[in-house]
Amino acid sequence: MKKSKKNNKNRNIFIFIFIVALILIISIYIIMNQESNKVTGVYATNLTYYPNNPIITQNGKLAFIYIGAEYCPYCAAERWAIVMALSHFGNWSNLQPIYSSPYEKTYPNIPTYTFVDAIYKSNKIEFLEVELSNRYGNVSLQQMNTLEEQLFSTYDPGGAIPFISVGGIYFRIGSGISPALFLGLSFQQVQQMINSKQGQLYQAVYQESQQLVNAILNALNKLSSYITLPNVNQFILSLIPKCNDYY
Amino acid sequence: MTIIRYIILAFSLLGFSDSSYITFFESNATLSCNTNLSFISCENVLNSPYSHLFGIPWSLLGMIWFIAFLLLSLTGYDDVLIHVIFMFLGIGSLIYLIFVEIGVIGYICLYCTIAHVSAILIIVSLVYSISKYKKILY
Repeated sequence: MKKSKKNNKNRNIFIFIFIVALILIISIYIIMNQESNKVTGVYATNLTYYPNNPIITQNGKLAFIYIGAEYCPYCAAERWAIVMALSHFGNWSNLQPIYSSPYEKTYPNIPTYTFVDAIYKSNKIEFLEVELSNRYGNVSLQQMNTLEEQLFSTYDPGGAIPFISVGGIYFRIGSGISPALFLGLSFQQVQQMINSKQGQLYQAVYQESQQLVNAILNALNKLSSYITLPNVNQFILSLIPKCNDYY
Repeated sequence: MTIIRYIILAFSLLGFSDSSYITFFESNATLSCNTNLSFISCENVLNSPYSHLFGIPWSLLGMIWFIAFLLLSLTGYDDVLIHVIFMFLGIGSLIYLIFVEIGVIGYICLYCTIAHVSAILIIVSLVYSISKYKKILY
């Protein structure tokens, strides 16, 4: 009788604290998730900024370094934003459509471009790209040079790709866009969605490209060779319609 | 307090802390591929669509499961039925999650493994207690 009373008391205490804990855990999770969705989610997070680093140039132009691989679905998602961002500062040619690895279990066959044979001409930016491996991950395609290797090992010791460096002062480790947005889509479908300028996929690519454009503009502003801009924000806005030209 | 109670208390605390860490910190892992080819990758596991059940992260469900055992052992509430219900929920989830990690995603997350081992030790302690003493020995 006494034990039963004690057990009832324990049960009541357990149920009460469990419900309180449950409410607390779920509340904290919802609050933290809302906060993180403002900056992460499927949309671009800020690039990491190292304001005290010296700006890296190549042939007198701002060095934009990309390290990735054709098999990687995260690189595939990020390439759309890179193409969109860099199209504001120069001209692309020979951009070949590919799909990321078909063997990737989570995000297979993400449509994208490959940078292997792509040509980018700009009088402001030197585009240095390294696609480490092919679509199947079994053939090495390009090697990093000393500068790229140094930056990669210093700022990305975990070896995560894609890796982006804008002038050695802005870094992006990983993608700002989730490959989940591209799942099951063909290359042409992604092109159409971006050209329509509507939907989650376009928003994600656009926002990430704007992150990169902002980083490039800030880095270029630090270089004395760049044109003086009366208003950087206005300049960015005037660039937006150019996106369509390259899709 | 019995040794079984100590084991459940310790491993539910470890599992709860570990699940909390995954839920609030590790789940925001970068969207990236790893060039250091390894069988162990939390990013690949936590970024996969299998990391959620109907939109709820498995780690959050893990937190709730571990806190239930933490409170059961703290309060000493020894009802066998409630222990068995939580135990079966745990066993089902464990089988599914380990199968998904190894068989589907092809990677193992160390933080998840800590939670899995903690859960297994709690379940083994409970099974031992019920089979030997026919009750939860708090």
